[in-house]
Amino acid sequence: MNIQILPNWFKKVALITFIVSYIIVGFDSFIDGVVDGFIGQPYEYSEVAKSQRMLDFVGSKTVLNYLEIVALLSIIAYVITKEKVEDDYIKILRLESYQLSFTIIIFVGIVFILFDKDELFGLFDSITLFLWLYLIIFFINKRKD
Amino acid sequence: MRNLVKVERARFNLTQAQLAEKLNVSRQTIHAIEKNKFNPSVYLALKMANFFNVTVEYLFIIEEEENRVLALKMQFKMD
Repeated sequence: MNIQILPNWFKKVALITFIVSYIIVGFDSFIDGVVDGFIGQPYEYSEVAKSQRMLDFVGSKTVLNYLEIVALLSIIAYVITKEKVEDDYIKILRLESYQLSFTIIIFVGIVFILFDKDELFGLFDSITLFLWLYLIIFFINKRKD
Repeated sequence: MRNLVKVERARFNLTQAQLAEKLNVSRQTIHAIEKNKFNPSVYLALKMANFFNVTVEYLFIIEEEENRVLALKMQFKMD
């Protein structure tokens, strides 16, 4: 089964969409850090400040959540985009990359199940990590030749 | 399996990228074949042989076969 269904030019679209949406989300997190830094310890105050600032910046927290999903969808789009030349060897490299990233994510998952009592590492993080790992491993596999 | 792709490519004075383009495969595939990391499909092997105007048996050599030929040669010399 071939899941590489999008044409090669879609990589650029996916990359631009990802960068734009991720910069906005990342900028929000950056502002969170700055606000936290200014306010210091009191958690409640920083939460108030965050919600206030988010309203100023993009309208509401929902928009940021949607942007996070857009960023994730763009990585998925990048993953299912065809290479310039799709041949048997590229398919093998892709398969190896999926295999390795899946194994790593299983191990990471087990470690987090055992030690992450606050359940900070959720499904969203797992999917993002898996996709990033796959892209990095595939990139390295392709470049090492 | 051993192959003479690198030798033939040099004979035709082509880079890996140029050969890849002519055979409609990726450069990585040519590199992997030359380094014996990947055995091409029958289709690609035939395509390569056709391109270099040689036989598939000449371009791709099974090492067991090679050893058998060597052993036969040795035996022939000893006789």
